[in-house]
Amino acid sequence: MTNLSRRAALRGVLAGSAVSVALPFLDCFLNTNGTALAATGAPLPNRFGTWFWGCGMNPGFWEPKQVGANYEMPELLKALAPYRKNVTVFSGLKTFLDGNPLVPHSSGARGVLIAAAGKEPDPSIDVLVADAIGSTTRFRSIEVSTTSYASHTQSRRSPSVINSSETSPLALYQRLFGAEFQDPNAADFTPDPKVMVRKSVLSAIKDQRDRLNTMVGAADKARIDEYFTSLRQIEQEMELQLSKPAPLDACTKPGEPAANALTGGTDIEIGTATHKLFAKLMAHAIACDQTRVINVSFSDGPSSLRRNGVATTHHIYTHEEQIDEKLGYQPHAHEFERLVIEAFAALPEALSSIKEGDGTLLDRTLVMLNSECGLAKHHSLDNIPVFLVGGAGGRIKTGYHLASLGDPVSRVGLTVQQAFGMPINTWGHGSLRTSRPFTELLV
Amino acid sequence: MTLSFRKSLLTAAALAGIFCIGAPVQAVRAEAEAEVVSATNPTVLRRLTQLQYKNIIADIFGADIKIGGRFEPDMRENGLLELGAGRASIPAAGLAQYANMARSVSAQVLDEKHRASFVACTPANVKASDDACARQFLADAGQLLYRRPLQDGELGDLVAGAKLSADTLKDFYAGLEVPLATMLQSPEFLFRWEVRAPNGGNKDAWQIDAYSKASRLSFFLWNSAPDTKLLTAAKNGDLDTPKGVAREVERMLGSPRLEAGVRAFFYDMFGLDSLTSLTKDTTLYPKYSFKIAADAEEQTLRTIVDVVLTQNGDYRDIFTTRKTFLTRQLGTVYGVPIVGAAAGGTPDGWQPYEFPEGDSRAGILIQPGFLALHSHPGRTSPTLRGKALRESVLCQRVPDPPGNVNFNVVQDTTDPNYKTVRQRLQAHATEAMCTGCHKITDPIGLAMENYDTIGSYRAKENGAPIDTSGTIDGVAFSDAAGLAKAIHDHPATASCLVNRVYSYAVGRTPTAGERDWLKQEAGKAFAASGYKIVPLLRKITLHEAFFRVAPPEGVPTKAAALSPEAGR
Amino acid sequence: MDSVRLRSLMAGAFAACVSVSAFSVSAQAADAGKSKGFLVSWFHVAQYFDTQGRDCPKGINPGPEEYYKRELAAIGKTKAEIDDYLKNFLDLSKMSDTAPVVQMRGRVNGQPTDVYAHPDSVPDPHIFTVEGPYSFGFNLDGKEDTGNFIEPDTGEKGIDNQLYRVTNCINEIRPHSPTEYAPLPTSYWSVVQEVMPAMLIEISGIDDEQNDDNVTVAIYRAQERAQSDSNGGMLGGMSFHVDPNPRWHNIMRGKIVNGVVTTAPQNLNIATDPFVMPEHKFTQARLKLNIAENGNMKGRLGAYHNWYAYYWMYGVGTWGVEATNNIDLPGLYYALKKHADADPDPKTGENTSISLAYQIDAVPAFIIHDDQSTAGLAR
Repeated sequence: MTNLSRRAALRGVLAGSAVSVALPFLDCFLNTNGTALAATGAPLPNRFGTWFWGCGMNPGFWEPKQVGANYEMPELLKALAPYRKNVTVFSGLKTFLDGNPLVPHSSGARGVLIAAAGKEPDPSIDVLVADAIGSTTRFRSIEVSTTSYASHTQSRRSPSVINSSETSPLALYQRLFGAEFQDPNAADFTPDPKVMVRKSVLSAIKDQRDRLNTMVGAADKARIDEYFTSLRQIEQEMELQLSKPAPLDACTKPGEPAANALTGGTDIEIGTATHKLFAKLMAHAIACDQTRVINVSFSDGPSSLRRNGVATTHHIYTHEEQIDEKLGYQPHAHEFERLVIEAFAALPEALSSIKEGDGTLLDRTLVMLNSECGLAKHHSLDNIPVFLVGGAGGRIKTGYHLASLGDPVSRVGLTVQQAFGMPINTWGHGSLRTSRPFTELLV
Repeated sequence: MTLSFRKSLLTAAALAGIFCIGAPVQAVRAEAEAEVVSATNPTVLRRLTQLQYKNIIADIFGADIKIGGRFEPDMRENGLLELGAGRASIPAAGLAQYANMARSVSAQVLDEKHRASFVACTPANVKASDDACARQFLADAGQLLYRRPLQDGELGDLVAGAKLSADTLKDFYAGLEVPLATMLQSPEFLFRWEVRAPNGGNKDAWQIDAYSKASRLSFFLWNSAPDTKLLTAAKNGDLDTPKGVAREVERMLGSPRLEAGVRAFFYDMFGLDSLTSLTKDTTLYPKYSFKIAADAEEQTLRTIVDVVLTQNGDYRDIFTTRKTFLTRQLGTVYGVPIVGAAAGGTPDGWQPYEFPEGDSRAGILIQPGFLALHSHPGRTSPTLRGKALRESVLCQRVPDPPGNVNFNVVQDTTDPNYKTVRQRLQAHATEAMCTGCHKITDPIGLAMENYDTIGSYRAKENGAPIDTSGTIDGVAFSDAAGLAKAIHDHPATASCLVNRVYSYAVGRTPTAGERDWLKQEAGKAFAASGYKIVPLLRKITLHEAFFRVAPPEGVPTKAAALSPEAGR
Repeated sequence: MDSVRLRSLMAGAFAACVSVSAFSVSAQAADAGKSKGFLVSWFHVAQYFDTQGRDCPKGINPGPEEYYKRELAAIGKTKAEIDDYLKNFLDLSKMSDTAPVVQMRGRVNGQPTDVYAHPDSVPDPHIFTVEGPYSFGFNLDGKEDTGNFIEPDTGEKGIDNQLYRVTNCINEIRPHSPTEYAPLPTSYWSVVQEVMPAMLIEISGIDDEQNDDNVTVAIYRAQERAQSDSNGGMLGGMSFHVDPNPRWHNIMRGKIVNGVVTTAPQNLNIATDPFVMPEHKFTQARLKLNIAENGNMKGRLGAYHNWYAYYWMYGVGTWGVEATNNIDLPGLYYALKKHADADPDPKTGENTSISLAYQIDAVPAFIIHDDQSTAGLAR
C-alpha cells in the first residue's frame, strides 16, 4: 500500500466508525498482507462455513458490553472464550419484510443468508461464496445436519434447488474419504487451462510498458511502475496456481466413524455428539482441500431440539415458558441457547487442532454463525445474532464487537463476500439491499 | 527549482496557520496560490473514477451488465476527486479487484444472452478459434475501451490471445472473454492517457492529440468515454480544427448526456461522495438512515440540475432557490408533508417542493446534503460547516487546527452553562491559539444553527434561543437565508466555480497563465452570460489553450510557456 | 409548531382538493382550526398487569400436555397411546400425523369432527378466567354491574372489559411484566405493521388544545405501509395518503377536556390483517387519547365486538396455535360465549358481543387527503 492510499483508507475507517468504534481498529491496521504463504511456498486457500441454529437468543445475554476489540465474553458465548480473538460479534442487526408476510422462523434466515425480504429466488450466501472459491475442489460444498433430518438446511441455489444435508457422519466419511478419495499428497496435477490462457494473454499488457513509459513524466512513471508491480504480483499468483501444488502437509485421513456411530437427533446431547464427529471430518476434508465450503444446520428454524426424555422443544419453550422475573429470561430456552454455542465450539476446536502453514485451519476458515430471529418468543426480526468465527487468511479482521441500531443484517454477508475477494459491491433486495460492508473489518 | 519553490510554500502555509491567531483575513488564502506555478502545462494521467468505470461499461455494453466489486477508493485533492484521480495508482489488491470485475464483465458480455448484440460476426466453428471474427470484435470493443483505435501490434496480440484461449478451451466465446478481460484490466483502460502531438505546422504549440482531446471533452461533459461519433471526429482530423471542435462540443452540450456530466461535476465539487459513508448517532437521531443519506445526495443534485440545466438559470441561484425535490423519507427530516408521492405522484417518489418566500430553507447549503454531511454524528459543527462552505463554495482554504487543543468545552452539549453551540464555541475560542481561525469559519457556520446534525429545523438548543446572525467578509446577515444570499452575491462564488470547472476538466489546478485567463476572460464571460453553466462549458472547451500542452522533454521550443495571450 | 413549518404548509404547493393534516394548520375548509395527524404504532387488546397477582387466583391455564392428555383420554385413547402422543406431537416434522389426531377429537352424533371448525363438539373444559377486580377500559353501558371491573389508574367503577376476563389467564395473551405488551399480541401486531397499510388517526378542528368542546377525530387506513426508524421504532413525521375507500373512514365527534381527547360512541371499521383479524367491527366505540409533550400519543379504545371473531382470531391458527401457544381453543370459545355481555340475539337471548378495550400508541405523521388523484383507487 502506498502512503497515499493508506491515508485515504484510514480516513475511511475513521469516518465509518466514528460512532460506535473508535481507535481499536487502528492497532492492527498495518496488517494488510492477505497473501500469506505456507512454508512450502504454495498459497493456502481460504474457506467459508455457515452454521445455523433456530430460535435466536435472549437479548442482553449474548451481546458484549463493550464495542470494538478486547470485549468481555458475554454469558451465552462463554464456550467461545478460548477463540475470542477469532470471534466477531454483530449485535443490533435486523431484517425486514418490506410488505411480505412474516413466515415465522424462516423470514429471518432468508434475511441473513439470502438478503431477501420476500420470495426473491437468489442463492444463499454459501452458494455464492462456493461459486467463487469452491470450483476447483472435489466438492463445491458440504452440508450436514445434526438433527437426523436431511431437510434441515439453509443452503440453496434457488428456491427449488436445495442443498440437502448429510445426516450420518459415517456416510459423510465414505463420501469424503472412501474409495474415490485421491490423496492430494500423491495425486497427479492438471493445471487449470483457464488460468493458463489468462496468464498468457495478460503478457500482452506487459509488452506495452516501455511505450507507456515514454508517454508520461517522472511522477506518473512511478504510478505506472506501481501498476506493473501489481501486475507482476497477479502473474505470480497465477504461476502458483499453474504449478503442481506442494503436498498438503496438513492433510491426513481421519479415522472412520464406527458402524454404529450416531446419526443425529433432536435430543440436543445426541446432536452435540454428532456435531463433534462431523466437525472432525469436515476439518480433515478442508485440510485435504476436498471442499472449501461447509454448511452446518444444528436445528431447524422452529428449533425441534429438546432434552432427553422431555417432549417440550426449544421452540415451544421460547413461546410458552414464563420469563423468570429475577433472571430476566426464560430459563429453559436460555439453557438451549447456551448449549447450542457449547456444541458449536467443537468446530473451532477441530479446525484449530490441525496445523497448516504457520497457523491452523481456523486461521483460514471463516464461519458465519447465525440464527433466524432475535427474541424467538416474538419471532423478533430485531437484533438477530450473527457471529463470524475464524479468519479468512488475514482477509478480515476478527475479534471485534460491532454494535449497530437496526442496520440491515445483510451487511455481514456483503462483508464476507468482499473478504473472499468477490466482485460484489451491493447485495440484497429491498430494505436489505446494502452497499455498506463493515469496512472496519476488511483488510 | 521546483523543489525549493515547493518548500517555501510549505513554510508559508505553516506561517499562515500561526498568523491565524490575530489576522484572520491572511489565513484565508486563495487555494490556487498553494499550488506549484508551472511554466508549462503537463499532461495528466487520471485513473478512472468509480462512476466513470460504471458509466463506460453501461455505455458500451448496456446497463444490464452488472458491475460488482470493491473499487479502489477515489482520492480527493485540492477539493476535487478529479484532481486526486491524477495522483491515484493501482496497488496489487486493487488490481486483483479490477481483474475480478474484468472477468465478470467479459463473461456477461459474451454469455448466450448478450453475445449477439456485440459480436457482429458468427464464428465458423463455435468450438474453435476464428481470427477474423475475433479481430472484428476486439477492434470494435478495443477502440471504445481504449478511447482510440488499437495499433496493429496490440490488436495482433489480442487476436492471438483469443486464438490460444478458444483453441485451448474449445469455445470461441470463452476464448474471446480472455482478451476482453485483459483489456479491462489494462492500464490503457484504467487510466486516461494524454498523448502529446505537435499542433499542425506550429512546432511551438504542442497539444494533446485528437483522441486525447476526444477523451478530455467526453469525460468532462459526459463523465464517460467518447462515443463512436467523437472518435470518428478525432480520426478524421475534425478535432484538430476549431470548427470541428466547436461542432462536436455543440453536439455534446445539446445531448441529454450532459446532465450526467454536470451531475458528476457537482457531486465532486460538493463532496457528495462522503454521504455514502456518513453515520449519525441514531439513538439521538433515529430518523437518520442510509436511505436519508442517499436521498440527500439525490436531492442536492436534482436541485442543482434544475437550476443550471432545466431552468438554464444563474449558477449562484443554487444557493438561494426555494425550489427543491423531496421524498417521503426526506419529508420526515424537513418536517413537511409530501403530497402525492404515492398516488398520482412520480413513480420514483420524488416530488417538486417550493418553500415560501422568506423561509430560511434556501438553496443547497440548507439541505441535509450539506448540513448533515458537515456535522458530527451527534451534534452540529458550525466550524465544519463554515470550513466546508469556505473551501468547497468559495475555494478558500482554512488551516487545520493546531495540535494539543482542549475541546472539552465544545464537545459537552450537556453543560448547563453553555446551552448553545455559539456559547460553547465562544468559550473555546477565548483560547488565543484558536480564536483567529474560528473567526473565519464560525460566524457563517453559526448562521445554520437552526438546523441540527441531520438537517432538521430547531428553534432552540437546550431550551435557549439560537442566534443566527453574523457577517461574512463584511456582509451582515440575520439567518441562514441571509447567509445564502450573501454567498450568492459573494465575488468568490462565481470565480471559484470557474476555477473548479477548469481544474475538473483538465485534471490539475490551473497554471498561473491559465488563472489569469480564467479570471480576466472566462470569469467575465460567465458574468456576462448571467452566470450560466452551459456557456461557461462552451467558453472553456472552445478556448484554443484548452488542449495546449508543453512539448515533450528534449524538444526545443521558443515559447513553451502558455502566455495569457497565446490562446486568444 | 414553529413558524417555518407553518409557512411551508401555507406555501400553496398543493392542489385545491388536497388537504394535509399535521402538527399545524389544516387547509381543510370544513374544519377550521388545527389538525394533528398520527401514525398508530401499537393497536391491540389493552391488558392490565396485576403486580399483586390478583387476576388469576386459580393460576394460569396449562399447556397442551395437560389438555391433550384430557382430550385424548376423552376420545378413548389408551395411556400408552397418550404418552406416545405427548412425547412426539411437538416434533413439527411429524405434524401431518399428529395434528389430525387432536383436530378430529370433536364428536357430532358419534362421528369424528374438526374441533376447530366446531368447537362445541367437545364439552366445555372451563378454562381459568380473570377473577381480580381491576382492568383497563371504559364503563360502556353507564352501569356499575357486579361483573364490572375497577380502572386501576383512575379508580373508576363499572368498567366493561369481558374480553380481558376471558383471555388474561392464558399465558401467551397476558403480559409478563408491567412494562411490556403480551407476547402473542406483540407478535401479531408486528406482523400487521410489517405487512399492512398503516393505521392513521387525525384530530381536526382544534381551536384550543386544552379545552375544545367540538373536534373531529378520524381513524383511517393509509395507502402506504409504516416504516421503522433506525432505532426500530416507527418513523414519525412521515406523510401518508388516506385510502379513499369510505369503508375505512371512521369520523367521530369529540371534545378536549384538560388536554384529553374523548369521542362519543359510534361504530368503527378498522382493517388489520387476515392473519390477525381481517376487519374489526367495533360497536359503541369510544376513544380516550392523551397527547404527550414530545408529540406522541397514547390512548385507549373501548367498544363491543362480536365475540366469535375473537375465537377465530386464534382459532384460524388451528392446531398450530393450540399446540404451540397454550391456547385451549374450545376452552376459549366457551369462555367467550359465557362472558359475552351485549347485543342479545333476539331469538336465543344469548349475547353476541363482548366488551373490550384496546391500547393505542401513535407517533406524529402527516395525513394527506387527496380525493381527486386517488379516486381511481376506490375499491
